[in-house]
Amino acid sequence: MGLTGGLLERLISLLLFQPPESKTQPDAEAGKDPHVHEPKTSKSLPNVRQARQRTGRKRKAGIGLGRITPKKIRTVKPNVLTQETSSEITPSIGETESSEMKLLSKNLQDNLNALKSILHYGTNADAVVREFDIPTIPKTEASIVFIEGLASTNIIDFAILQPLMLIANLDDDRKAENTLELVKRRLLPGNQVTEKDNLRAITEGVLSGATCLLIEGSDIALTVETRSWEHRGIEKPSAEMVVRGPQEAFNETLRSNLALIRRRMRTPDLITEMLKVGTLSRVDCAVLYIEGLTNPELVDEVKRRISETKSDHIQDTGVLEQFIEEKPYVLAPQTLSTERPDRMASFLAEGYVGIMLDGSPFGLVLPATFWSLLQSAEDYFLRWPFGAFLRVIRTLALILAIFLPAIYLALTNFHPEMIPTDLLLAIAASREKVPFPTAVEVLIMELSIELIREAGVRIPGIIGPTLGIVGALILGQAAVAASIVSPILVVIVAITALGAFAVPNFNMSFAIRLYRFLYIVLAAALGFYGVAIGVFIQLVTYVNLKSFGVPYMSPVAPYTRSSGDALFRYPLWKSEIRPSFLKPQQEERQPRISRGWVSNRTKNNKNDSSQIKSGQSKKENPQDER
Amino acid sequence: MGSKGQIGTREAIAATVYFLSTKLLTSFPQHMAEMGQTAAWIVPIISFAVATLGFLIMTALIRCYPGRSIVEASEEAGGPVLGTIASLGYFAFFFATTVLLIREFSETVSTALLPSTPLSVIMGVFILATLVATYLGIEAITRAASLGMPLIIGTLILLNLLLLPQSNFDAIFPLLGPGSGKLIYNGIIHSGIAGEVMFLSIIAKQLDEKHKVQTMGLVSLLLAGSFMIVSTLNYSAIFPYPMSVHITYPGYEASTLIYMGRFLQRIEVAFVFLWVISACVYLALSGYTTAIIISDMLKLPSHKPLLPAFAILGFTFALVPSDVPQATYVDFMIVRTYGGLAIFVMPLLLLLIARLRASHDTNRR
Repeated sequence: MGLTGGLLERLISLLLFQPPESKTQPDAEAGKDPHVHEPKTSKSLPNVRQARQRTGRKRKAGIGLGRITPKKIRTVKPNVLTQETSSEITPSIGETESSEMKLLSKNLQDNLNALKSILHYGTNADAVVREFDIPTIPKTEASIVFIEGLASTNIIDFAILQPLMLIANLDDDRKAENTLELVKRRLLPGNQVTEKDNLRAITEGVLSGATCLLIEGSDIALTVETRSWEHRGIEKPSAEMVVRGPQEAFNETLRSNLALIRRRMRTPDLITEMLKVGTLSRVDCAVLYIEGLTNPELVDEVKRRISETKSDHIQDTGVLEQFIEEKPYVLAPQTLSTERPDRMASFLAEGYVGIMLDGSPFGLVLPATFWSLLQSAEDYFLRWPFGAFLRVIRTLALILAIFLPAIYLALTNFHPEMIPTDLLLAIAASREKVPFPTAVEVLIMELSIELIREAGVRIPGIIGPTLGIVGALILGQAAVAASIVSPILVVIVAITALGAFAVPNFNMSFAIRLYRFLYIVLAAALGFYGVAIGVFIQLVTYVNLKSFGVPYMSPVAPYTRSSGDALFRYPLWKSEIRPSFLKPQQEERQPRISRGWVSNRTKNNKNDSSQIKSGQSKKENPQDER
Repeated sequence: MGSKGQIGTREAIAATVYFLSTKLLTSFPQHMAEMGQTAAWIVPIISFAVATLGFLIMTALIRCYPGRSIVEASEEAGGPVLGTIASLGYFAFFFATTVLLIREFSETVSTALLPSTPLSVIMGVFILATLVATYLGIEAITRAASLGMPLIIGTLILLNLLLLPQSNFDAIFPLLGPGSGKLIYNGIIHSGIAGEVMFLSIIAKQLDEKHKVQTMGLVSLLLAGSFMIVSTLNYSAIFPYPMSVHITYPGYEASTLIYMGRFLQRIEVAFVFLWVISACVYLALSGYTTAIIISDMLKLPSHKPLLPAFAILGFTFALVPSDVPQATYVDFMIVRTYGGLAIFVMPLLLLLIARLRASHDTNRR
């Protein structure tokens, strides 16, 4: 056995599949671009021609896109967006990392030229440079740099230029020895002023809407918070509507979204860590979690995946999720997207990690489990029997949406004996004039309904949904009248579509639609046997799937402790623990006796007579009873 | 060695129960009737009791070599020659049952669902599903078993309840059928019907709570044994002896008898749907067990490269029996009979050797 075993072992080890190295390079390595070359910073003001030539050279050299390299992840509490430090800023587009990391000199013109060069001043119409004098004694030259449209002109005029150019005159103490300190302490009324010492940090600030103030003789620049751009207000949710519960949804502004969450989680332990994603888009990405509650390994894993995502343009969480999910080839969504701040807050309170992206009205919740994708915010806002009932209805909807056409096909084609005779005759009569096989008929109708759905979404204006419904009805009616499909199939397809709509998660709904077609093919080929085989393969795939290290079918398979909040919804006062599959640092959500007044009442009832006699109302501490 | 998944206690029990009781869907009750006549339901009681003893021996052997599977423990105890013979015996048992069950399940599907479809297509699809599951690993299979367990138990209970109106329990008399002596003898020599319990000792080192392997096995034997005994009893009451000997798939035939009014009848397809899933779980478990035995024997880092070869072998060997009766005969009268020797007697022998060696070492010290 030894020799044979050894030979076989060697042979099989040669045949073994060696998975490719999945680990990416460490940050420091990843940040280095082999194509980067030292920039030739123009001493004079660049004109349009020079700028174009420079851009062309860079394109040829293949360095047009700088790489984002989060050097260090910040831990920032409430005012996260403004507490930037220079070391955390990523390199700029079109400039090398080394040049951007270059420290400022004490010469204003040198600094200004370098900054103009980075921002393509002259070519880039959005970049604005305003040079002026601060009336110190002697006068000090200064400049502000900002991007039009991102920065508020009102704030710049009244909170930067006016104090520096006019109010500075009113002060007697205008000696120019320490102008920076004078400006920062007494002349800039902006509520958030940050010191920056290198070009990269300044560029990053300016590109995100801040205004940079450069002062002659100072190698430190001041970045004043002036971010203000046009954005949509807070509106009602469009994809996760509820009858009872908050009616606020995220919008495209990260700050507003974070405020919406923080308004519901007034704990100092709610942490928002900021990362940058996209080498071109360079969008702020907020990772949210509760310090002391969320599993730190989960947080680290989320941050690791985001920071190691290398792409030029990530503008929505829908794009980001495709970069950070574990199994891209599995149809099941592996992240949960939500547009509801209340839902995000409740997930965070359970120990999940949230991701918000600037410009995206949907947040991501990680990890996602299969059961969480079938849950809606309203489940918790209603009394528990109603919530549990909704869950059952939704599960039924899921089953119908996936299997109903396949079951119809399998029954009519392979197992008609199972259909009651009267129904079988009705089906046979309705199919009498239909020239197509059942499988073709089902596919025609399913494709039509998908077409109507897609067209309904794409048709502009308010007529979209109306046209969809009318189109469906007319098409269905006409198809039946023309004997293209049988009436019973219209009913089947309508129920299936309703089932898909009843699934609360948009991604899950999509997955269901695709699974449905697979099951139709299986049923058409092998009847119930094919469907059963499909169910088995889907089952093993799902139980094998993990979302950020957490089994997808948790807490059912594998079984883990939870509050029973999976397929059903238990009473909230019985939901005492957080999902243990998340390995939260605090597993207990509430004490075993969360309704303290019940124990008080019981105790009081027991001692009722004695209390009446003594005339005392004895107050019990519910915690003592535990 | 294979993938070192951590299998929870629930998942392990669910998988073992599946592994032990899925053969109810095949011609198992028919063979019980052949051996026990009117006392067909007593045969599994005796067989499961013997299998319980056999399992206790297996766990005793594993305990001598903590952290090892029974394949590795056999090699440690018996040395390279005896250990390899024992492991080949385990392999032969599981490989043979896998191959025969592929054929039997495929024949069931062919009879019940797809009479016009070629058998090779049905078998091919079964093997494909099994291949996917075994490739994903034991973690996925056991979790699938645990997820499907409530559904299958519910179906089994429902089936038995719905069949109660068709049952005539006078058919189980005389209670001891061919006589107690013959009954006990048949029960003992067919203890291989519960031989799948060895699965737990094969994956012992992948269990989350390794120290509970004995409890897991006993619970699984109790649950699966109860299902099999109750179901065999019910089938005996529905199809009285000697008619029961001539019905190849009593489970399927019984489900065709369900009549709950004019609207709810001929619902056997719904049951077959769940049986197919159970059969897939069974085949995935047995396929994985077969591969992992060889993988452990050859000390391979993964069982996955073996799977395509086993799939082709399984497909080929499954076509060897000329018909269903031959396949079931080989399964129950040969494999389950002599297989019991391999999987229960060999560990006993190895345990004795291990104990002797241990006492010898102690004396030398």
